[in-house]
Amino acid sequence: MPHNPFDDDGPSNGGGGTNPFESSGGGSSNPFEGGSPPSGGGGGGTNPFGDDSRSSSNNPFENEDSGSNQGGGGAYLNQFGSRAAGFVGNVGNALQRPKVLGRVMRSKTSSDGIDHSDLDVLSDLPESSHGGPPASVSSHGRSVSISAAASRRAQSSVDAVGGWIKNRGGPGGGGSSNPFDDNDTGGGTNPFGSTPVPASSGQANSRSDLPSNDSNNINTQSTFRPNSGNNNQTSGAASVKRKTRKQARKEKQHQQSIMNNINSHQAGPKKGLGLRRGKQGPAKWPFDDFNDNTGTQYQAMNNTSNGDGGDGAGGEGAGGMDDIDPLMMNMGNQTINTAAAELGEDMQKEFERPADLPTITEAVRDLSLVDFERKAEERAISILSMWLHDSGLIDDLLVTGTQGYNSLAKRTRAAAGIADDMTVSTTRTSEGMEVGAVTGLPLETLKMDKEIVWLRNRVQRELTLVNSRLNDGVAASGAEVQELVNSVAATKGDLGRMRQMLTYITQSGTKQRDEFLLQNCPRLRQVMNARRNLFRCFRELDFFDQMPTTCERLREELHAGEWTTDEWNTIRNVSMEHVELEILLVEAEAGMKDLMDQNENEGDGRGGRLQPSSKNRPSINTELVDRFLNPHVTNVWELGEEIKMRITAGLNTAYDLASNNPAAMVALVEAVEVYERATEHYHSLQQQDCGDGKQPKKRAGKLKFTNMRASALATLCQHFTLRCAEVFRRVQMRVRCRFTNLVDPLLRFRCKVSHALFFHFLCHTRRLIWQLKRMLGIKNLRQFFKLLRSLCRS
Amino acid sequence: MATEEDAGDQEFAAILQAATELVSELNFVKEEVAPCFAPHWRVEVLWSSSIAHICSNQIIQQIGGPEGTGLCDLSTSQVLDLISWIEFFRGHIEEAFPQVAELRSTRKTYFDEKPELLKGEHKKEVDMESATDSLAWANNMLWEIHRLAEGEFLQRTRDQVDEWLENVYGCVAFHFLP
Repeated sequence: MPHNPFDDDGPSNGGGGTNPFESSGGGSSNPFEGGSPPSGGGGGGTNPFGDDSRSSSNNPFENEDSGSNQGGGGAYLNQFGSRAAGFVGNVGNALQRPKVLGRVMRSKTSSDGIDHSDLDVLSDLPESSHGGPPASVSSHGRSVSISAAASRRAQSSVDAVGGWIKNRGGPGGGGSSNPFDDNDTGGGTNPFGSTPVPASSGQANSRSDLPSNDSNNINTQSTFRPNSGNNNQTSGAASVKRKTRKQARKEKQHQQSIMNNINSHQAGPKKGLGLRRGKQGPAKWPFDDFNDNTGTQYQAMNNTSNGDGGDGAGGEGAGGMDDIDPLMMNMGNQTINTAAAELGEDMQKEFERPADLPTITEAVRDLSLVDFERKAEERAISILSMWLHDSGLIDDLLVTGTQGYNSLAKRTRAAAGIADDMTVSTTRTSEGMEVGAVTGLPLETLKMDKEIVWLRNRVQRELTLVNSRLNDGVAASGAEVQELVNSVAATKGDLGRMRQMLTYITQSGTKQRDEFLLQNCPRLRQVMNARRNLFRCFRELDFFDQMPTTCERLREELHAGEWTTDEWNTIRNVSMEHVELEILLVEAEAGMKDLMDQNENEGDGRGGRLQPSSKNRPSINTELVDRFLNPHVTNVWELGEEIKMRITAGLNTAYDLASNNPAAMVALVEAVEVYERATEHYHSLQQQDCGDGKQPKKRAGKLKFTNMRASALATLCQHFTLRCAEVFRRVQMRVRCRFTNLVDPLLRFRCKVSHALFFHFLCHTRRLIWQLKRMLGIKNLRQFFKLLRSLCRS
Repeated sequence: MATEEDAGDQEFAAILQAATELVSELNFVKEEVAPCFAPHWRVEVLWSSSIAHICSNQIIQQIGGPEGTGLCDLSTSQVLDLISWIEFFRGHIEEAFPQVAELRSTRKTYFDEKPELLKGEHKKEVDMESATDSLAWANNMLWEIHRLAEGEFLQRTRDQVDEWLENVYGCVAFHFLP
């Protein structure tokens, strides 16, 4: 009965001749015999592993010292046997793997089941080999069809073992790490034929049988590849005889264990059949560089494996092979077991949702700059994993695969040094999900693709936003930054003041607004008021000092805006600034004279001590105040007259202006009303002071605000009257012209000329006046009228 | 002479045309111009008072004074145009200022002087009483002219009827009496 070497009953049958590769005994269960009858086991060397090692010198696992390898009970455990026994001995792990990888095995099914390439390879075998149990083939095929990560891990484990073997074997192997190398056994011990097969022919045959995309067969092919070179070396086998037989045996054992591991992970037991093709020429190990890297790892594992001496059938195998290093056997078994266990655990971990990440603040706390990048990378991987898990993309990813995933897998494999043609996606398979991907037919848009596109767009958008913000920050000038800093500082100050005021209000919380916290602290209140008053005084002094400059600037603005589209807006702006000047002067005069009155009253109240001087003081002081303020008053009020004239000129065309440019008319009216609001506010303050019970002022200031509204209203009335008269006059002129047209052409011409001249005069009178003023260098109307009067007199 | 009469007729028609144009602008001023000014400027009142004053004076001049002595010189069509214009003016004014319709007597006349539309120490405010009074005076005065013109028209109609009846009676007596 055929027996699968990786079957569950392996361990139970591990005793004695349970080695699947051991064919001693009539009931030898050669796994590679397939459905061949037991008699096939004595086929006289047709089965490379199933033959009785003692009767066949072609047994590759029976070397010259085969007699010493015979264990008790007739158990003959060759190198493959130890490997297989180790694997079977850890069948628990071996069988757990499909559970762990159950999801994975459903995915990349290109290598599912038996490989057709394997069948091609097996075509060289006897027909009985093809008739192997399908279940066995299938199960191994499933174990092979792991995902890329799993295969890499398994491959790395195998390679690690190979590396360890290489290290153990050392250079004494004559550069041949192939377990099927003939060097150690000489020409007569070549299990694949004593006669070396030319490498070219062997490779050619092997490759011709293999599909190009079959990874298993490529592995097989690559396995055989070094042998071609080694066969060339075989021709110089005499130089290899320097190696001791023991070293050669060890090397062979380990390399065969590697092969077994590879086959068990990737090709199943039929891969072992590839060994039979070793007579076509062994292949070169593809991952020799891995050995150096992983040698140290297995050196460390060597120590731990000593404690697991009773593992599986290793003991029996050891008993069967005296010259096999038990440590080495245990090491091989332990390696596979550990690799399988790690694989399962890792795969389980990979499919679990990562733990929630800590906040960035916590993550980067006490983190050095060197570790920052590593931490960021781990964090990015965790975020991506969480996204995959939360979006439910794992099933989609594993079952159907995506372009992104395939490309990622390709990149990963390329990074691992595996050629793209080793992908398992080209195998003819029976699973329909893979058909679309294999044949290249367009599949429907997958959720994974949508999510990736969505994620890419989102990340791109966020990066663009970040980039723009960075650019803004970089492009900001120093002045802008300074302005921002100043604004922040000012805002802080304002907030502090508001908070302070808020405490006053909330703590008082009573009837009137002036019942603040300082109500009960009159002196403190006076101090605070004095501080504010001082601040205001200094500000007004500064403003007073700049008054001539301000007037000159306003004049320039007023003249610059003439005959422009912004003329009326300019007038409004100038009026707003001008009225502040008037307010300051009016208040200054009234305030200073009021202060004199207060001093006078105080002097009267002191019993006449200051009477002699106080009699003359008011008049003197009043004159002094007037004299002090006179230049500024003259300057400011002359500017007011100019503004008034401009406003009046605008109101002379109020009807047309309001019809054609209402905004200009509004600006003009606002310019007038600014003065009226100042006047009303000033009078309201005066009345409020009188209403508060204060002593009414004896003397009011002589200064009055420019009376803009009166002149504006008068001008407006006049404008309306003139417009009405103009309408009548125009109609009458038209009638007269029509009448005189019939009578006298000359009269008609004179009528038209007079008509045109009259309109021209009306339209350009204002402009002519301003042109005259500019030509004569007159700054204000007063000078203009004086000049006009002098001209009239002369 | 015929040319001078035509000129007089055209001038009278021009006066009525200008007056109609100004009165028609009252709505425009109220809707388009007044919003550009402050409400207390009373622009529509100023405009109405101005047009009422000027139009009434122009009409009075055309009819030979407030007594309407020149009405008899107007043609019947001119009298009818005058009557229709006065009704047009009255309708607009009383629609814009309903309080004017109730004022039948005014404080003074405004033949020789313009109404004082501003008041106060600095003439900063529009004197609404004076403006309304001037409007009422113009309205009443024009309504008196309307009455005179109506009487003139009736008189002319009566005269024509009398003349027509006289002609009729003359013909009857000529043909039927021995």
